Amino acid sequence: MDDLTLVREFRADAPLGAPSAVRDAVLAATTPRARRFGPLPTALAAAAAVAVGAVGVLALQAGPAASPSAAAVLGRAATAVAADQVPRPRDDQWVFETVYGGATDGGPFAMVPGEGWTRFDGTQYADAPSDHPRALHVQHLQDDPSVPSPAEWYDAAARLPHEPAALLAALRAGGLADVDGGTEAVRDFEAVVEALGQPVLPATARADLFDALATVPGVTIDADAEPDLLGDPVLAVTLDRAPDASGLLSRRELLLDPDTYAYRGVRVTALEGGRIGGAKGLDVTAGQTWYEDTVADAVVVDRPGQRH
Amino acid sequence: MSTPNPPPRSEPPAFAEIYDRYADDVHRYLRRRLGGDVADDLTADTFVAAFRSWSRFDPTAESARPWLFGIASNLAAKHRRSEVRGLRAYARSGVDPVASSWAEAADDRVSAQAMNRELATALSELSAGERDVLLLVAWAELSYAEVAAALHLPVGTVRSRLNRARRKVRTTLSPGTERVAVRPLTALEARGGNHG
Repeated sequence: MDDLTLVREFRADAPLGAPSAVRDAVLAATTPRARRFGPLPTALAAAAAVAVGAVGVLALQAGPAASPSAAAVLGRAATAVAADQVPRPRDDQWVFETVYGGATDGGPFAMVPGEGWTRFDGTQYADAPSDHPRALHVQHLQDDPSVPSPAEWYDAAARLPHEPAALLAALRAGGLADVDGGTEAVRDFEAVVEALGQPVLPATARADLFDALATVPGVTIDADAEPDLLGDPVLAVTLDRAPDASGLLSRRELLLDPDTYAYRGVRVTALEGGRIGGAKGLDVTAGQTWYEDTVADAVVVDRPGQRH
Repeated sequence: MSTPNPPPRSEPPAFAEIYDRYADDVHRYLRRRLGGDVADDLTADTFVAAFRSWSRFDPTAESARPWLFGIASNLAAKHRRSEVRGLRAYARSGVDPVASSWAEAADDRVSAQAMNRELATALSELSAGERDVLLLVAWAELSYAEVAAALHLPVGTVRSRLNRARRKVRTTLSPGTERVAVRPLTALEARGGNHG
């Protein structure tokens, strides 16, 4: 009998079959408490829409421009991303994204990857139904001017002015970012973050957006920010004490890869307790991070179903 | 920002299906290495870790099996000292403490399998890396390429570790080879080292 056969037979009488308690424990730990990536519950969606950009009772006081360290870090980020080459995808290509997180009602953020493919021209969207993970459900999308397609974002970003003040003015006027209301600093921060969150942008535009972010009053850098939902370290570009429509102050963070400055997600944390979004809104407590997402993957592929 | 109102997303893969397909195999592999109780815990840890890092699984891979065995092996590494102690206890006493988690009559096994006692010694004396490769090939029935993917090693390293492990096992089992007393844990192993 050769050595490998002996090893194969060693403890070969071990029975097959994991106890059902193990299965129960695994499924309890991996089943989300609530949908994270479907449409948000109506009240929460309303709260979120209001919370992120509307005029607050407590207006953000016009503070100093972004801190010197923020300007330096964002300048480095601009230089780093400007070196990338990001050719415009073909209209029939697809943007594949894997995103974790979403809004929470106060419970932990489930680690549920939401995967989806958006056709670059915005005409179709594909994902896999949960009961048939290998199936792909492709749906045609109605043209919705309020939701720019990846192509519209790319083309609009390519036309943005390079100079920060002009770029911010163009974003305010352009109707691309959905950030009505709020102080100008909040609006500008949100608009730039929304633009940077687009998976495909011309490299120069991405660099210009970092430069513009460096001019927004109140923006700071947090190099020791909490890790993202995947536990990976991040560099946070932060706008603190930003009021929502209810006057509640929040801390908003744009999360970047600390090495490449790639967009990794956003995080919104209430700085005081109260209700976001009016009577049907979301009750939050001070210190509660009620929105967070982490982009694990964002790549251009040739067809839905491809991930590389 | 657009994030509080994201586009429709899919739900995760049906994870119960993945668990049901692979859990018994992974559990038996861990059970043979570390016994029932630890296997239960590590099987659960393996699948929860897999779920949390699902986006890192190569979707072009034919099967998630090697990936899961790689996670299981990495988790088992934290119990390396316990694994080695179990093998040495078997070699010394003829009673396999790991098998006692599934076999009822431990006494019946005392006199049996002298060869297995020597094999236990041989396995205990392998480096952790050699043991991982040998057991993934022999017990999990992974190919060299699958072991390489599971452990994030070049295929050449897998091949050389397997050859080295088999050579050591053969040497230990060779007739006429004088058996030496089971050596105590080295200082390195006691610190959790011995990464082959």
